[in-house]
Amino acid sequence: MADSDKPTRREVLRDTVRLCGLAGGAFALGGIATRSEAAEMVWQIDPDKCTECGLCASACVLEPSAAKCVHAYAQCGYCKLCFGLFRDKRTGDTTTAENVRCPTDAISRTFIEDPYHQIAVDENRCIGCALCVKGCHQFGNGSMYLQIRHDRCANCNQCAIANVCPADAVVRVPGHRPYMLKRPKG
Amino acid sequence: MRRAGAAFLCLVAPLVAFGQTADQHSQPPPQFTDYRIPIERAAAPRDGSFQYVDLALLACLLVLTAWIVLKRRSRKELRIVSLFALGYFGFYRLGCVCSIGSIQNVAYAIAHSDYRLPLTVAGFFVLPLLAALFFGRVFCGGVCPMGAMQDLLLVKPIRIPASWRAPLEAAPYVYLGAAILFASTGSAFAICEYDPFVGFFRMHGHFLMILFGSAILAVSLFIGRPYCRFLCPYGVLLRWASVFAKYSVSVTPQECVQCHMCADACPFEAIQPPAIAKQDRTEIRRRLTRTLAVTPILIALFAFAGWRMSPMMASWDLRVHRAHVLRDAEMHPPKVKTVLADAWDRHRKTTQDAYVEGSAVEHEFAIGAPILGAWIGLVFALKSLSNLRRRGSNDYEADSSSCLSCARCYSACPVPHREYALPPLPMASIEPPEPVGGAV
Ligand code: SF4
Ligand code: SF4
Ligand code: SF4
Repeated sequence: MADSDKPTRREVLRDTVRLCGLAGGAFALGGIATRSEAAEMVWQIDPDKCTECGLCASACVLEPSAAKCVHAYAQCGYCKLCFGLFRDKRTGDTTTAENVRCPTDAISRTFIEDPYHQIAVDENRCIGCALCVKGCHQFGNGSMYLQIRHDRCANCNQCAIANVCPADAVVRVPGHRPYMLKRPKG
Repeated sequence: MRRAGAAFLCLVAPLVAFGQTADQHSQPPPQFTDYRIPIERAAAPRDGSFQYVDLALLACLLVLTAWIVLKRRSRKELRIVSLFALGYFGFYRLGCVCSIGSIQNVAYAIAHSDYRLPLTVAGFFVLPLLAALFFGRVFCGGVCPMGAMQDLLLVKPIRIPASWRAPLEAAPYVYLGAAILFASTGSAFAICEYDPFVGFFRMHGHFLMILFGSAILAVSLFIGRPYCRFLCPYGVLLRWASVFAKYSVSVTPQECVQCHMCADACPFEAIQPPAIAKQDRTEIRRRLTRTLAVTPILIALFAFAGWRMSPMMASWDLRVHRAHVLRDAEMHPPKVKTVLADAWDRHRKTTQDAYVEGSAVEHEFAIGAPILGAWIGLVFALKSLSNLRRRGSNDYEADSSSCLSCARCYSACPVPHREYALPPLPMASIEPPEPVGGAV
């Protein structure tokens, strides 16, 4: 712009603002660095808050949802009539295929010894609808619950499930502790 | 416990044999004769190293774009870089986190001291702005996947009449203000929720958002980067930063022959024609005083409107909505309990708790919404002055604040570009630049 070597007033002004911006940016980054865990934050479902509303299956931006059922074996009662697997027996039926809750048939069970059965969730089939979670929570031990699987989750800046979760159950957790596992208390 | 975080449910059997479980209906685990309670397979945590790759790539691509746009002056090479950015940040990393959305994290972090801004997010917010302070909007030109998507589709740019452009260009300022209000109150990350392109990156999304995105992409066949120019809130910040850019796109290497070709080639109307005859001073002064007089009125008007609208804005917040739902339910108990009310009960919280929470949010909006209104009023007032802005130059010049660094104008300029070099850097002497590779 200027023909001479002497900087114009406009150039001096620009240089000053640029320097201020640089200093401000460095200052902000420094401040953040001391305050942040440096780890990224990820989303997780707090199983104690989740009320099994079923929105996880549809709200997630992924298809199928990144939220999937987890089964805590150590908390399981190994019920013969698993409440997560079968609908309430007051509906009449018991352990027949028609009475299975899971819409995708993701839950299977194997006989162990009378009267105990071990159940397993096929994570490739589970769509995170929480029907089994509801059953297990209402009538059983609550050993089935939902977790956002971080091998699938896109880590949206704003989790679409958190937007709609009526129970405020989807929370940010530090990336190095990405799961909220159900563990026995006491 | 065991390798905390890595294993999904390594519950140890002996612990459970005695310990009572967390849930209320517990039946103790049975005593098996010949069966061991299995330990869950590990589910992978998120690969944390990616965030550093993202940050490093962002920084590299910013510098690379600056070099290509300002020094190599090659649209062809720039296209390759932006295709890569589109593939990596867009389709591979699924679009999160991005600089545009990071505004909200920053706003949220400022308002909520318990939220720790992750370093990646901070980097995505700061780095493109720093780059803009030096090289102009190189982020838009080569790094932003959303910009790339629109830019690569542009086939037949048409001009938008100037009278339409001013109001359209005010929209990003309004969007920025609204996004900050909703993020800082913790109500919503609107930029993410209404992101028109992220659905394409993920190949899945809400139907209406996909429709919106498709509409924008269809428009961008003819209008250069509609989202970037008429919506993108981060563009506002980049615009401010790039006003002070040290090196930004400068069309002609030597002497401008005033042929108007570059301005025709720019699909974003970012090239300012030479200042024609000096505008009448008294005319300018009159418009300035008129605007100055109108500004406070506009601000007050919009602030008032914001204040009136604050209850409505607040009601979009889930917490306020919940308080309303619970109040309604108390007055007219519904047959079926809503999921919101059900969840609230199960958390053993009272209706009073919901009121307290909801009214706190309403209070925040009662302060924030008038401020947003005042901001919108200010933007409208200043936008009416935009055609008064005069450049000091006698030549065609790219306006660094609206130039998106797309490198289209270079090949349109008929003046030979071979001997062109950047203004000398303060460092050592610079080698002569490579010849520009033909028209693109
Ligand atoms: S949306 Fe919330 S309450 Fe509903 S199933 Fe998912 S985590 Fe549970
Ligand atoms: S962060 Fe995104 S991908 Fe992950 S669970 Fe939430 S909505 Fe789904
Ligand atoms: S019932 Fe729903 S949540 Fe449970 S395993 Fe089946 S798909 Fe998954």
